[in-house]
Amino acid sequence: MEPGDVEFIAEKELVKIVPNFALGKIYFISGDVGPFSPGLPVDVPLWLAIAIKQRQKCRVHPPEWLDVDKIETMKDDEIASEFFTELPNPHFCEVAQLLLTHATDNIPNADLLRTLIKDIWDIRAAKLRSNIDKFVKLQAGHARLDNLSQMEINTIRPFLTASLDHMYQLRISQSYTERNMSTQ
Amino acid sequence: MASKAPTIRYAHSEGLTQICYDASGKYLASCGYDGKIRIWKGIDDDEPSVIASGEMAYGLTLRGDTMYVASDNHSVDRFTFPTGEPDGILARFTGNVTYLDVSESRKYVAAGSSDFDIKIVNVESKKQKCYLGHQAPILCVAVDPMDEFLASTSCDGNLKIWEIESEQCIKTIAVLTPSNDIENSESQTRICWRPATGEDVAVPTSTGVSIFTRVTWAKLHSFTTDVTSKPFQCCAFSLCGRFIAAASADGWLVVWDAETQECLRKLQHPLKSSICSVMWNPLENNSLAFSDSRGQVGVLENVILSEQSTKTSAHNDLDALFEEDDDNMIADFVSQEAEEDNMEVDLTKLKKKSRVSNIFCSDDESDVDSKEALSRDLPAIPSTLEVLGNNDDLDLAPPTMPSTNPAKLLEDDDASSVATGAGAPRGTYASLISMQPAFQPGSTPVHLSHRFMVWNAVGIVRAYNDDTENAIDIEFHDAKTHHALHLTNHEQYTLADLSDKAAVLATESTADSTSKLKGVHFSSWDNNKDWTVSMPDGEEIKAVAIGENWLAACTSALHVRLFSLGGTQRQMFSISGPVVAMAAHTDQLLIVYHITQGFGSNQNLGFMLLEVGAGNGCRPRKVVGGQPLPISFGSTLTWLGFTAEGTPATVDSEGSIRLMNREFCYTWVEVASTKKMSKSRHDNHWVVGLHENPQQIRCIMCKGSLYPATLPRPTLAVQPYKMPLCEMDNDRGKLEEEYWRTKLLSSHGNYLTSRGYEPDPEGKQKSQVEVQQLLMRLFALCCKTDQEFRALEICSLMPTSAAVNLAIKYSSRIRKILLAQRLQEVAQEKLQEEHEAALKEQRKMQNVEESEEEEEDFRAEMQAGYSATETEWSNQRYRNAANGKSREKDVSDDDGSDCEAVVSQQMEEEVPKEKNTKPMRSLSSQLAGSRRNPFKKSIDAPTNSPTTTAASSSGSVLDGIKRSVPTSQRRTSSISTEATRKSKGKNNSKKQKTVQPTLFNKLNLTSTPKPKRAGSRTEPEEDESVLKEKNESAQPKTSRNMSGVQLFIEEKLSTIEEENPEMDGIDARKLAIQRFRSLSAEGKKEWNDRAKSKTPSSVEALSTGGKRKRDPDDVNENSPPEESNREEVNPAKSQKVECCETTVNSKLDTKSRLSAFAFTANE
Repeated sequence: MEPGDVEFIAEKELVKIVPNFALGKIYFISGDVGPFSPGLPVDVPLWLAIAIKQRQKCRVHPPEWLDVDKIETMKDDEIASEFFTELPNPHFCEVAQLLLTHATDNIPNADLLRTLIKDIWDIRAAKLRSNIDKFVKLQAGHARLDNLSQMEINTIRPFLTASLDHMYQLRISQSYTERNMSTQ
Repeated sequence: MASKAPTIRYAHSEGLTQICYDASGKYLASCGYDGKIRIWKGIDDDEPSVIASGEMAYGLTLRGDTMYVASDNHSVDRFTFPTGEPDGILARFTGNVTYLDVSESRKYVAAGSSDFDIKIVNVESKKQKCYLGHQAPILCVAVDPMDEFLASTSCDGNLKIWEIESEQCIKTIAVLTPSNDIENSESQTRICWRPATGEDVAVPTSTGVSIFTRVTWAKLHSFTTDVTSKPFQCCAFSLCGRFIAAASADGWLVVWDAETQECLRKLQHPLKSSICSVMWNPLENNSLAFSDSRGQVGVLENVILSEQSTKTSAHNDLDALFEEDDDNMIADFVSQEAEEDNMEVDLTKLKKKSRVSNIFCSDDESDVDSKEALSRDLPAIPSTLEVLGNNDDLDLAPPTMPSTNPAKLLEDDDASSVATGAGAPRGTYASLISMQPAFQPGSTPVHLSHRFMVWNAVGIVRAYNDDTENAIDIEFHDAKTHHALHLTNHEQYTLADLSDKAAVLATESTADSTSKLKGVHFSSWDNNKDWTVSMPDGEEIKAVAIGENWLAACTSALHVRLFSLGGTQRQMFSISGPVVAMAAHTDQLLIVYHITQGFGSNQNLGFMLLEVGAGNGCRPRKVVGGQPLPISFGSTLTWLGFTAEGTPATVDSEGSIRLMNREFCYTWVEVASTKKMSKSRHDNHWVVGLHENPQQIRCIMCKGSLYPATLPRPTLAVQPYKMPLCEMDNDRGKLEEEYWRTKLLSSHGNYLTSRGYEPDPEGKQKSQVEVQQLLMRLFALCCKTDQEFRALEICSLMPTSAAVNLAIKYSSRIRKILLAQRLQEVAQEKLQEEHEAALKEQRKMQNVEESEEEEEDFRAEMQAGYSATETEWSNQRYRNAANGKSREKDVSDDDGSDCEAVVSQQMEEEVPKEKNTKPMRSLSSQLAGSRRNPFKKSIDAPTNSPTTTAASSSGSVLDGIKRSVPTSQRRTSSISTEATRKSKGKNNSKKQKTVQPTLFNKLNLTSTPKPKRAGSRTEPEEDESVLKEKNESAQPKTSRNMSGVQLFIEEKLSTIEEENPEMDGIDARKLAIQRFRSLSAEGKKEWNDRAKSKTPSSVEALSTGGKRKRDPDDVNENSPPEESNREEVNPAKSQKVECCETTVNSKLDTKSRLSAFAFTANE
């Protein structure tokens, strides 16, 4: 799965927008959206919100968690905690990223938020890497990681699985040669 | 006496200190000789934030988010609050600034300095005014709440009153012994105006607190106490103006009742140190903060012990008072008051703001006594709640315009007022203050630097008024209306209203210009969009409103001036009292004004609803004029407007939303209470708009405040309506509420129709269906609880006879035969009414139709525009109804039974109705821009088949009700009931017969409901020949046989079609039926048995079968073979008598679907 795919899935998350146009219900395969009336907040999928926003037809209401104070406490928690903390949204990074690129003018302190979210991402990525390092070094058979988001799993999966495979093969050949050596 | 000692803590180094509350009462700020300002989150805060401000800080004041500090660096500094960041220097002096004060309006900051100088800075314009005259360092300054006067004391021992505007000293009074510096002064004499009204000023003196009245500045009286002989340092009025606290140099804190002059609380500082500042908590009136010269701050809670009661003085001087008063009005007022008093009426509420007595207050002792006499029944201490209420009134009052100056009124009134002794201060008409000032609906208070001038359904007008800019932003919810506008606001416009065509702004008069009205006609096609009109001298615009193509401005001269959007002056008229608010919608104008002064804190409002006739040839009409406007007890009006559909609505400060009920004598009915919606008592829903369809209250949730801030941008929320009907906790109450609410909120349709607007047929039908559903549920509920009379009452509310028929069926099903019989009467009445109405309409239509027959088609398309005339579709409906009637006559002649007639009549009547809906709907759906849902799974999409809509909707009414009984049988039962009723008393056996079929039905349906249903379903699908055959062979060949036929057809159809590829579906089916007929009896039986055995498990199969069956019909609908004419919607052709039966049959089917139900609970 590509990061683009994960983002695509994340675009199904609902966000609140305040449209500046009037339109009846829109019927999509995944469900009905609307009706839109000017000035009245309505929940729409993220992809639609972005599409409308790009046409300058709405204001996006950032989700409650997309707020400097909340994100800052999240970051502090993330630093303090040994494990992964629970994210406010399973698609935290993607949603924040999309909103921060497309609806910058509707989010107060967008730049600060962007840095904070990047920080959180980095902290978590570092945690993930160190965990994997530990995992590999211990040659453990399985490990459990809670509260990982799809995007994070996705970033690490191809490399991790491939390298594990690789290591396995190396190990096998090693033991094979060792055995050969001993028999000889 | 002291119930609880004050909490005292160290704050500053020794020396003069000052303490101050912020508006929320949460924060305390103190300053002292250590040059620090400490901001405390309550007195228990151990870590107050500290701001350094010079070497010494002499005084500070908090207003909103700004803190002004007087320090020894010869300047008045500004800090943000509560963050405490420096925010610039407001004013500079040549000496230490010793005291400062900010006016209640936050417009002026006054500061006194040790260089004998007093300066007032206008915060907005930054202009300074100097007041030179004192001969010594200034001790204290205080700005009049009305922004007219300034009081100051100085070490030269004088109290001076200045006129702010003219910088003139108008009165000098010696109040204390002179000294050379503030530290050496025997008293700090920190003076205090009476809050809100400024009707008098309190000055601490060596013996107590002296009260000097406004205008004459004579000493009214003084509050004294015997506990101390030291001079008083400071004093403070409580925010409600009821209590006054003062503190002395030896630490005595004394609280008096400002009305009765009774000393309520005496308390000495534990260290007996001199208290130099005292302030009441603006939110909890029962606590006050003080600071002493040792640098300590303290808070005293429960200042007034609630069990204490004011003792009354003798009722002696009342008569004398009456003799003195020549003025009848005043005397009447007094006697009225006295009467009420004598009758032991609880005047608490009236006295809440304690203004009543002031109305006849004159200075001499007798009056004061009489005041006491009047208040003798009062519990002396208002509970905290009441005090809070007062605070709300004062502090968080709804958006106001600066009210008229009471002093002016005072002077005007003086001539005709009570004759009082020369030089004696006159009674102040402060009670006028309790009359709510005018406001613009949907605006936030004027004094805010960033505020909403209006927020309505069209858009938002915001005003920015700060250092960097002075501008107005107009923004539209719908980008289609217009792009956002940005105007500079040099003229200081404070009032605004906005429609989708224009905006209107208004300003009050200033020194060099009169009050102005500005129109921004942004939808105009010429280049000159703006216009300005000046009001005549002395006329202030108090309220503006903008309608469809006109606007109105109401002025202080009680004129309502109408203008066109282009700025042409139109009519003007007068109203009978000062305006409170005004709202407009299309050509309706709603004005709310004061009728008279209300008692206590109540408002006595009246309203006027006009149609100004500015619209498309509409004529002006007074709808309601001069009626009192009901608002909640003790509340003020906070919003006035129309629902999106044009029904007048109000919101008051108690949170009650009321709508005018046009259907019920133009009365007002409460439809929601925002107080009940909010979780916290301090939250408020700031209503910006109401919608009736869909039922929405659009409002902004304000946490802990009465109105929203402009930033962060507030979000609209939607709240439901809820009428306060009784017993809302049970099902019946809920249903009744829902019924009346739906009734009320759908009544706008009738009004709009009467105003020449084309009603929205879809919406109307929807609400009708809703009403019917609700009634049906109520009916079922009553039947369940055996309240038959109530059930009957509910049935008589039902809109159509068809609905009543459903009820009849239902009641006979649950064996309430008596009820069913009664209902039959109701049904007949309804039927008659419907017919009369239909006939009337038809006659009307025919007249129109004859002349305009050819244009009909165009007209149908022009439905988009507003036209008062009916369109072709509705015409046909009535025509059909008439035809149906003539046919029905034939039928009744043939059969000779009138009950049959009733039934057929009913059936026929509904055919055209339903046919009608289709084109109507599609039209309206085009208009509304709504589209069909292509993904909707259900086959009977409502837009396509109105019949199924009706069926399914009635199905959902009776949620738990199975649709199972074939109509024919059920019909017979109802018919026979009717028949029995007719021949009642004649024949008992007949009556039994009536019961039997019903029972029989019941048995039947419980045993084998499914095949019957299949039978009834197939009926319309079958060819005419089959129908005929069926009619010939009559009922004995039951529907079970039919399902055998169907099964046969189903199975054989494909083979037949293969055999005869040239045949179309219908012919093939004919052939199949023929083959079935040609089968032997055994063969038929076999098929029937198969059908029977198949049914229990084949509900789905059947329904899919039905679906498959329908396809050929659908094809027919579109292609024009002859059959389609018979079955389908062609009203003209259906007039053929031969088709009649077909229609009846298809009708039967619809009816059966509509009515086939059973209440599961009872089965």
